[in-house]
Amino acid sequence: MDRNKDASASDVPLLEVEDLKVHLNTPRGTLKAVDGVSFRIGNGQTLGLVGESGSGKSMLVRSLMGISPSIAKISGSVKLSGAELVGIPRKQARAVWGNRVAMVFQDPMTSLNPVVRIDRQLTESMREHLDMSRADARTRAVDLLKLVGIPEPEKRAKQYPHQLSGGMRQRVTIAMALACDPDLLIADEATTALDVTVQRQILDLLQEIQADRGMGMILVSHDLGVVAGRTDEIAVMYAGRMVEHSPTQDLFAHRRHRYTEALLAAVPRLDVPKDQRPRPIPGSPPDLVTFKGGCAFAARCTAADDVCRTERPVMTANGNPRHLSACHHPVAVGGETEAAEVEGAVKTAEVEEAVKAAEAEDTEATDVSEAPETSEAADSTAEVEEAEEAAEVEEADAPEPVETSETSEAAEAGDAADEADDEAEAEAEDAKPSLSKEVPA
Amino acid sequence: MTAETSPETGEPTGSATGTATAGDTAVSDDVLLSVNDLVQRFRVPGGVVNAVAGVSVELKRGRTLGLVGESGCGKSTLARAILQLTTPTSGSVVFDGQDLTKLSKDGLRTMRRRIQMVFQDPISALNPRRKIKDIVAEGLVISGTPTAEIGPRVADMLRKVGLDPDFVSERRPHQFSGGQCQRIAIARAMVVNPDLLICDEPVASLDVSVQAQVLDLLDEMKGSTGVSMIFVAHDLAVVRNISDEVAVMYLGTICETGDTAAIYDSPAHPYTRALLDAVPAPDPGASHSGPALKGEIPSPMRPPSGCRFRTRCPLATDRCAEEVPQLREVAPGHRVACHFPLVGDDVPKEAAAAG
Repeated sequence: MDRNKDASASDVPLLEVEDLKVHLNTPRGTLKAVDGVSFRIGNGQTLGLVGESGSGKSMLVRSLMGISPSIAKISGSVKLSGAELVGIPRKQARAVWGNRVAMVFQDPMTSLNPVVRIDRQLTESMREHLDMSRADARTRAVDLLKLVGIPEPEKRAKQYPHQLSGGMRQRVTIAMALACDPDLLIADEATTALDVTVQRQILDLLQEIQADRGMGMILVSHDLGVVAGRTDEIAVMYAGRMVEHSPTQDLFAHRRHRYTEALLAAVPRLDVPKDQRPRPIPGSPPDLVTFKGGCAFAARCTAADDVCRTERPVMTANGNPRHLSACHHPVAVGGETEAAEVEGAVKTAEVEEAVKAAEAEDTEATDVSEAPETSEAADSTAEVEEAEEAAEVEEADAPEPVETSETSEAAEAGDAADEADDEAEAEAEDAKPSLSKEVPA
Repeated sequence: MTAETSPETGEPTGSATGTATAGDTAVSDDVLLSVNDLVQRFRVPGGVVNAVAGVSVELKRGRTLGLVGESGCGKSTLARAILQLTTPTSGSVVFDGQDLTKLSKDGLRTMRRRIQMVFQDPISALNPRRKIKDIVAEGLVISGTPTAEIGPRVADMLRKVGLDPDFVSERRPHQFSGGQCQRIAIARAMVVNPDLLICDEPVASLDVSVQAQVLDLLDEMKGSTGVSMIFVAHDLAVVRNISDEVAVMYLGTICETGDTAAIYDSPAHPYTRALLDAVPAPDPGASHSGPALKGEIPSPMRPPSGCRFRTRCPLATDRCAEEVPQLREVAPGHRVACHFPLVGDDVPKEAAAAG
């Protein structure tokens, strides 16, 4: 597998994201779902985007597709082959979304319209973007179904989504995404809802198609195992920011950020002895509305000290100029110098002290913060409802799912609605201090 | 149709005698649950689905059985049939000496306190309109626990699953994350001190970081209460640490069963091998050890003749189409239903290359 091609093969990268921010205005304040993310993807390259629920990874890729919720304020720069996408009129942007950039979603049942036949769903975007005749589009639809490995494509094209299995449905959504030969394919947790055996089939398929067509691809997942052997680079997100970004090999060999390490230790794996159990990450991510300074992972990190709690770490290269991480106390793993190990040992002692101190602080903090936070939790309940309402409104805004390419958009709006729900849920969770060991603001 | 009825009747009988000779009488005293030749058939438009087509498993007290297979293999149906949530078509479920399939409604109600279940989607498994303390207390109320005892027991159980009772008791499920809801679901199941806990894909809908939390909690529960467990999952990696024994299911039948170590270190069924190969390794250097499994699980309405796995098996021959493989022992306690079991590591590679 030749996965280490030079990223800067051509001068203009396929996708260039600079300081992208997606801020949501909620009644509680601004929720910084994505807070200053920069990366680029070369032609034919695959980026793995990894993080927990609520890390902002879905919000990030949705803003690239133009399907972030209506309350989202997007700033920064997104350039596709050099052309700016942020802030351009919606009409212009629509020529890009679904055409040059396409997306595959987590749940194929909600991204497919249940009352429209498969071929009709496939031909919509072709008719819209490629100006194809009905007959041509239909022929191409069957070809695409064949391409994604659906047996009896002619018969399947005439069926409805519920007549297909989960794996087959996901193949259909991949065919839909490929309909206009996109330059960039985004797979947002595309295999999370599938069986491991089917997951492997779908990942193999995506990889094959990506290589055949020389597309750029973003593989979004919460599981480092899924992206390990199938990406050129990996970006790890936490609390709306990128915390580590590196060529894939280098990330696994010399991971630096404590969060990356914790995430890796949590993956159940078969290639280690049985007694090496998956290690949970205690606590939960911080509230993205109230979170202020310091490292966002500090409250859950075993190596955190006072610097981590006050000073926000920035992405810096250390050794390999393409391996960036934002951690005050990066991990020293195999391949590092002895000096680093000695330093590590000293640090461990320091860390233990710091953890003890932090624990003492936590206990106090929990008692004190309980009363006021309770009311806040009630607030966030209201917020859940509000976010749901907002999502519903957006859904209603989407035009009737007939004739034109609006169907996929309606489905996407539905997804965006789900996302808004998720975000709101994440907040609701964050408002419970005694359940998670957080250092209160 | 004749080919399909034979595994239901023939196969389990053979396996039952197999266990009887292998295990001595002292061990059989320890058996908490024994499922014999269980068949669960559903009538659907256009035919009959044999969701569980003759399954026999045994669970000893204090042990955990991992039940693994793809969607549609019947593992959840089996779990539900054990609990008599559906009425099994035939076969018996003997729990602590009593056949659950023959119990009256009242008898079942008493028995259900001793068998509890945790479901895949914790958020839909909890009643959104009830407070956490009432959700957890429900089992105690139904089993007639004195009111004075209920409060303290609920609080105690919530603490055990890592939640602060003062904080969560008055809240409702939507105020919690998936992981926390799963803790609540586990508290609800464990508060009545069950002898058997059936977990149906309890971590499939959770983030990896939270999965490990829930698995640790279940392991802790097992250690502190000695509860026996059936752990249903589609991912062999998840089941490995928590199970003492593993049973692999395919299309309504068991294709391999044995100690966890045996299943993971020397899988004998090509399907088990394929399931192991499908687990993504978080290591970019790792090469996939075998070819990806082709196609999907066939419809249980029209299962293939002979070995049910033959349509996707890289080793299948004419014999597999004609003869139903019976569960037989390849090593002590390690049984497989395959005409060409993969004994040792060299066999599968050669054979796979040839096929």
